[in-house]
Amino acid sequence: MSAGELLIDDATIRYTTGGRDVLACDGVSFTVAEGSFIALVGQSGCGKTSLLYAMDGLIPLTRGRISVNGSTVEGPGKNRALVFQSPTLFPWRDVTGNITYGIEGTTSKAQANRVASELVELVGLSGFERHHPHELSGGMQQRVNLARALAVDPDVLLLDEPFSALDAQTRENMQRELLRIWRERAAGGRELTMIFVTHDIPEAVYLADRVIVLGSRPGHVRADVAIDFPRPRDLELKRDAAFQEHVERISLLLDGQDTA
Amino acid sequence: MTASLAPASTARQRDPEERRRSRQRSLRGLAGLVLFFAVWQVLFELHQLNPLFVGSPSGMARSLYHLFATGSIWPDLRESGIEFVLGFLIGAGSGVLLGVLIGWFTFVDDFLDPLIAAFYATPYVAFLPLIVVWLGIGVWAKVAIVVWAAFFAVLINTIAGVKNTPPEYLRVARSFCIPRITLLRTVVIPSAVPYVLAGLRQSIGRGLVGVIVAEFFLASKGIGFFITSATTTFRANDAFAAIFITAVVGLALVRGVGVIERRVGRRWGLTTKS
Repeated sequence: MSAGELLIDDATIRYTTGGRDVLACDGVSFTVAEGSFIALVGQSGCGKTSLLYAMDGLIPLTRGRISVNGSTVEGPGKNRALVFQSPTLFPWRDVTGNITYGIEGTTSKAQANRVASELVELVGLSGFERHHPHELSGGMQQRVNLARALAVDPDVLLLDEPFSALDAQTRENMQRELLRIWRERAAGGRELTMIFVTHDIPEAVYLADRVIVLGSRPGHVRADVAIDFPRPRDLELKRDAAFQEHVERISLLLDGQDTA
Repeated sequence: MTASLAPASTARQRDPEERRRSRQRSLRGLAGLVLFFAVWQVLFELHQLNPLFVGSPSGMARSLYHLFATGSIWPDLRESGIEFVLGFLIGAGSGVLLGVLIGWFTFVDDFLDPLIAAFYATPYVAFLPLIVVWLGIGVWAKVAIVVWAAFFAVLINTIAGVKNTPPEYLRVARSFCIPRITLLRTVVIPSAVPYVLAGLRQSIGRGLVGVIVAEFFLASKGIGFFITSATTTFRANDAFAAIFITAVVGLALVRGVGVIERRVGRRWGLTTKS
């Protein structure tokens, strides 16, 4: 039985903001196999964050259906977790307290702390357990944000441009780390389906098995590109000619929309 | 995003420039105080001030020494202190409690907002005669005026704090399927803490005014009563001594809350620059 299978069928999101009717996504459909890594790329305003929030259940679909493991998403659920674009950590909680936030109501304190110490280790924050968010760098805050989402042990992890605010070097570091964490989870028998929203094409190509290119206004699937570089992937890969080819092709696909 | 919630980019250690500047500020503040008392004393020595009505810093100091050495100020201090503490605890406590409820249930807030704003804007001592009618002139009338003074300042700030819970925090909680009651405890109340502290700080001054003014009119004991009786019997130095005590107590309490506010701010990385 597959645990992290995701089905997006004719997803359409319409909402009103400031008295204006906005069609964020129009008839988006794709399926994601358990344990695979999908990158959603698109320019700002293509509704990729709306789509991600809809997968989490934070905003409703106007039309269509999203299902995880065969059951329709009707609201936030324990089988999905969202890594927000800005870390949004609670300043009054330390690193451990932030990581355990999502599981406190459902597990014992001892168990929550065990999970937290494992995750602190996994995301590379050992020694910072008692630090408060403002004492951490942006990259470290995003590690906590990631660990907080992993703590609920989701089947699907939804990531909303989590590295966009980081400097180039930290960002590459985090990309490699994310792949390591994903691989280690899978090796431990916990296949994790990743949906990673970004507008950074090299990032998408480096991370994903498939890059889904969304066109703008309203958001719709423009292309679905398979990336079959072997794993584990090294950052060296980014200098590979085949890698560059993928990046260029996807760039063209993205730009095509605006000139058309 | 509210500016006050932006994380401080630098770590806990303040830089030496800022420390130097803060020491400079304290020194200048001290110099201002000394200058004030010096000018006052000089004017007095030059017989520019009527000793029956104004007194002098040195006279005030003598008076202070006398009041504490003989212990004659204690009954008045205790009386005012009890009134203030009781009123403050009841007023601030109920202000926080109701503030959380009103801020949380926007429906209730819609109903009460104009009423609360009107009560807050009205000088609360205007209710003093009515409070006397309701409660007599005993301790409880004075406690009531302090409750009144503290309650609305804390209430208004708590409501604002609860309503200004950053929406992104609420979204995190919703994404993690946190039940609403837990959300209140784990997100809304903690994020309102800085607002509540600001409300407490404001209500200290308001409460002290309440005590003193109430005692002007309806007391035979207490610092307010002491000030009136000293003034009407031409003991200006005694009156100033009592005012001085009130000022020191007020300043100490406000500073005390300020210290807590700064500590919370530093711990949470909030930039609470005044």
